[in-house]
Amino acid sequence: MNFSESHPATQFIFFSASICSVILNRNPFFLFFSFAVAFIYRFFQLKHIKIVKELLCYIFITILFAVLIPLVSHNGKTVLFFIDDNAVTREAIILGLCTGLEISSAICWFSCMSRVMSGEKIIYLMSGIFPRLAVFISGIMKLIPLAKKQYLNIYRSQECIYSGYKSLWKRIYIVIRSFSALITWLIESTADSADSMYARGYGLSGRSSFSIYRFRRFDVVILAVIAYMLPFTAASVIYQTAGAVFYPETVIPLSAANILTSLLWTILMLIPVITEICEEYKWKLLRSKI
Amino acid sequence: MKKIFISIVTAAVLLLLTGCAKIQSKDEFYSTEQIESDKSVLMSVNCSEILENMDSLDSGLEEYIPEYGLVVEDKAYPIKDGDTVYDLLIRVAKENKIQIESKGFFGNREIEGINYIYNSSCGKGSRWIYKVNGEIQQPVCSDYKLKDGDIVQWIYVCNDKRSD
Repeated sequence: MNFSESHPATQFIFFSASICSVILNRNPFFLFFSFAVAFIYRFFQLKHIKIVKELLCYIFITILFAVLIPLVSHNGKTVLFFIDDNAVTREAIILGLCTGLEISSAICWFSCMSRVMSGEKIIYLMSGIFPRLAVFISGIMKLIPLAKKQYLNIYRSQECIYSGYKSLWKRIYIVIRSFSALITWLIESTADSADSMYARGYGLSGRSSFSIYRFRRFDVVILAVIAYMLPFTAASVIYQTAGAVFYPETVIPLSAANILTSLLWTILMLIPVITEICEEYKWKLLRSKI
Repeated sequence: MKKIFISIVTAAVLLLLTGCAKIQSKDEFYSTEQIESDKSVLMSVNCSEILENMDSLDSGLEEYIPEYGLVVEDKAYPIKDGDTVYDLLIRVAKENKIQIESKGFFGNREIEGINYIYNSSCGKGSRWIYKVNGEIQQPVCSDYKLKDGDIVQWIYVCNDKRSD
C-alpha cells in the first residue's frame, strides 16, 4: 500500500503535522533532519537529476537569509565587524542560517505536498467539511480557463467585424465590446449551470456523491502512529526543550528528551518514503516471478 | 545574453551600494577620539526597573543586567556643538564598549536596545525611554539638540502604556 494512494485525509494530516513541526520548532538539529527527510522524499518523487537544481535553490535561500539577517539585526555577543556603526555578529549569522534552513524545509515539504495532493483531493476534503465552498471553488476552477478561451473567441470575431481599422482607438473599442460580450456570456452561462444543478437536485439533504477514496487499514495505522508521536513532540515544543536561544548568546539545547523526540519524529516523517520503497520492492519481486 | 547582462548590472549595483557603506573592524570602531570641550552633559543609562520584574524577563538575559541596573553611571560627558541625544549615546557606548541597536535613518533614529536589553524584553509594555531635564521625550532621539548643563537619563520602563 502506497502513501500516495492512501486517503486524502491521512495525507493532509501527515503534511500539516510535518509543516507545523517545522514552523514551531527552532532547534537547528531538528530542522536539519526535517529538511533531510523532505529532500529524500522529493528525490523519490522526482527520480531525476533536476533534484540537484532544487538543492542549489535551497542552499541559495539559506545563504540569502544568512546574509540578510545580520544586516537587519545587530544583537549578539561576538562582534565580527561594523557596517555603518551597526555590528555584524556571529549569533546573527547563525540565526540567519537556521531561519534559512527552516524556510527551505517548509518549501520542500510544500513541494512534496503539492505533488501528492492534487486539487481534486483538496476539493474532496473540503466537500466533507464545507460543501458549499467546495462547489463554489470547483465552479470557479472550471470557469476561469473557459472564460479565457471564450474571450479569445469573442475578440477574434470582433476583430473580423472591424477589420481594416488600424488605429489605437478602434482597438480599444473592440476590447470594450468583447469585454461586455464576455460578461453577458458569463452571466448567462452561470445561470444555465445553476438551473441544471437545481434540476439535478444539488444541495438537497440526503444527496450522495461518488468518491474513489476509501478509508483503509493502512490509513488507520498511519493515523495511529501520528497520534502516538504527537504528544511527545507537542510536550517538547511547549516546554522549550526543542527551542533554542540565539541572542545574545547562542544556546542550543541537546538534552536526551530533545534527541529522542527528534529521532522519533524523523522516523515518523519517513513513512511515505518507506512505504514507497516497500511497494517498489514488492512489485519487483512479483514481476520477477513471472 | 540577456541573463548575463542582467547579472552584470545587478552585481555592479550591489558593489556600488556596499562600497558606500562604511565597514570598520572592531578595533577601529572602538577607538574614539577624545573631545576637548568646555560643554558637558550629565548622562546615565538605568535599567533598574527590570530588577523588580525579573520573572517577565526573557530567558538568557539575566546575566546581562549590571549591578543595580546601572549600564552607564551618572557622570558628566563632554559634548560638541550640535550634538544630539543619539550622538552622545553612541559616543558613550563606544567608549564603554556597550552594544547599541538603533533603527531608522539619518534624521529619525530610535533606540531598540542597549546592552542586549531590547524593547519588549521584559514583557509587553517594556521599552527604553529618555528624559531630558526631567521631561519624557519622543522615542526619536536624533532630533533633540543638547545644550550645556542638560541632564539626560535613559530609563528602561516595564509597564509603559504607550507601546502597542
